[in-house]
Amino acid sequence: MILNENNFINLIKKKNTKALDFVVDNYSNLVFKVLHSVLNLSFHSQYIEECANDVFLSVWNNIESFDEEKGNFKYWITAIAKYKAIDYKRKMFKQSNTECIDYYTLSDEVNPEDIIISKENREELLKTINDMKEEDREIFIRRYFLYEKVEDIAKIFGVDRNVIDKRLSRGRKSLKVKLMPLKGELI
Amino acid sequence: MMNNKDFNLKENDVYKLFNGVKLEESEFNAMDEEIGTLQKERIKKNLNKKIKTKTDFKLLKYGSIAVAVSLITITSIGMASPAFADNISILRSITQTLNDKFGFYGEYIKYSQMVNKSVTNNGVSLTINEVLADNSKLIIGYTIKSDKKIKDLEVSGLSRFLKINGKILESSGSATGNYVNDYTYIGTEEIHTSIPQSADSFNVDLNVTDIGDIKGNWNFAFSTSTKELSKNSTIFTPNNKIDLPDSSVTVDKVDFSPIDTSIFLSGISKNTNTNSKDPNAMFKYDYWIAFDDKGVELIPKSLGGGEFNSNTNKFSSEMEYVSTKTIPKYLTIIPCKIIPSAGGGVSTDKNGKETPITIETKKPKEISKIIDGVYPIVLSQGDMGKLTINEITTKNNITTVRYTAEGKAPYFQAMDLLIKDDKGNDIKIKNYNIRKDEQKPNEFTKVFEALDANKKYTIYTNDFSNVEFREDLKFNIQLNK
Repeated sequence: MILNENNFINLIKKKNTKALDFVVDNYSNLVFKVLHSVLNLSFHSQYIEECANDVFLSVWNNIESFDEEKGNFKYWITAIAKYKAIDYKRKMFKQSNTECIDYYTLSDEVNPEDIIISKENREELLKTINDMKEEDREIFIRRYFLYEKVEDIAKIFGVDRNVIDKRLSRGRKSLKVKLMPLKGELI
Repeated sequence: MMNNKDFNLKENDVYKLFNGVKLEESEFNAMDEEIGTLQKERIKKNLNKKIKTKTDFKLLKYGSIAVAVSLITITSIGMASPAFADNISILRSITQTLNDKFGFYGEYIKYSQMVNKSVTNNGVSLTINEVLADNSKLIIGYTIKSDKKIKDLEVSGLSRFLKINGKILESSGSATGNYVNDYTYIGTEEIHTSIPQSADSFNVDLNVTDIGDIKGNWNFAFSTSTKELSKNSTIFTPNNKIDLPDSSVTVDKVDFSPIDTSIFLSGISKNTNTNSKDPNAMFKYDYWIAFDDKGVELIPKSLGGGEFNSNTNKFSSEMEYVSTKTIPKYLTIIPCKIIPSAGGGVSTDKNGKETPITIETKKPKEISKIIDGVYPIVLSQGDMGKLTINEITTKNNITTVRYTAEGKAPYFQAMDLLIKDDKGNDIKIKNYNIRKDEQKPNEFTKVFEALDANKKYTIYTNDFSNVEFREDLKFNIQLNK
């Protein structure tokens, strides 16, 4: 069988390791680009490669999370790479105890920790996020899962930063309204 | 697995959300240079290693297919994919030790013929410790020792190096093994093949040319007797004809031996568009859940697999269960089709060239409850029935779960019980021998690595939505001499 852009997702689902090799061959440049951008040059190349390994392994283990109808694999792996890189960065800074401005800006303004949810409510939380308007949802995920700065999100969507603020606040509100009656654990 | 601490979402949930984000490449800084082939190859190698250890299927089942490929290897997975938690000590018989660990009782020691021959080549010694044989199979217990660290031996089948009375024969079978330490591996392999019926013994030649990555010559020749096991086996030839949706099957022989109970069957596939490489081409209802005349479920050992001739559409297969204390008047069979939750395999041709085989997979729905110290905990298993957890205790470095299974196939249901921590990692199972009291066949005990009292755990099973449990195809095999 010839591996190509059309069949590799299905083959990963069937746990064909050659399909993962295909991803490494075709998406390494993109993944490393993302990792270099987030982790910058202060990181030893060895850690970057380790992180890249982790990204590919996540693709392999979580391919069922990729939605072929809604998603686009290139965007999806980019998001995973960014997410993993941020996680690595956090871990590294925790280990070295170095104060880093970047690290603190990850949790500026509205702290996402305001929104705490029990495991049982996971499904409801997911549903609520999925029910958001397409653009609101993307803003929400970029802000709270990919820790992008509000002004950066504003730049990408070509709007003023208070538009983003407003939308984020709308997202938080819908989470509170919908999830509050379920468990009452939401602050 | 990483939790998103802010939302308590699991990694896979977060990745689901990422379907809705359009992260453009242009949002990131350009790189000075591209990733080279060498680095890519290194990453691939590392990934392959990690995947291998993650999907460490140590009980391997393989079946051979008569046409086109000489050996097909299909990893057996899903529900009961045993992996040993710890190193185990070897007592007398490797085959007995390894089978006991899985709860496959049987008098292996009693019928073992000690070989204890070792050959050392290129720093690796291979010892054939013992063999057992009856009219249908040969079981080999062996030890591999090396002066360097050895790994990836879990799938090192011996059958491809085997000659019986000087001939290479088609075979199928199963293998399992365990590392005693970094330098020592013990294994047992059950090879089902055409054992010569004309005499009580036969000659075995094993000319092993590779062990894992190491090439060399490890040659053995010994004779094996089938007499003792055969003498103590009771064989029935019921000749049942069963019409299954995709095949017609005949039960040729049922063998109650001191080491196991086997049903031998042959059949013809109704599937006209057969592909020899498709493991489903021969017959889909290849998981036979068996009950004795008292309604007690036989413990499955190795079900399905076998030989298939894609020219004639004929196949033969075997269902193997743990040995029974007494011989029942009849067996009741429910044919099932199981779509594995993961898997695949490789077929190897005469030149050792490997072709990956992909198979249809389906994940059943997980049914889970948090362990909160309040019992019973009831886990519904969909249409199959339910598991009731009566007690979970941690003592002497192990955690013991006592539970009962109610439903259509209690043992089958009981096999599927696992515990995971708050990161989604499964807790290792220490022992797969779950039916401790034959008088209470639907009460089970599963032993896990000790749980930490300060951590949260989830106990889980699944709804078996990947299993076609065909009660409508149920039939009896009368066992009359």
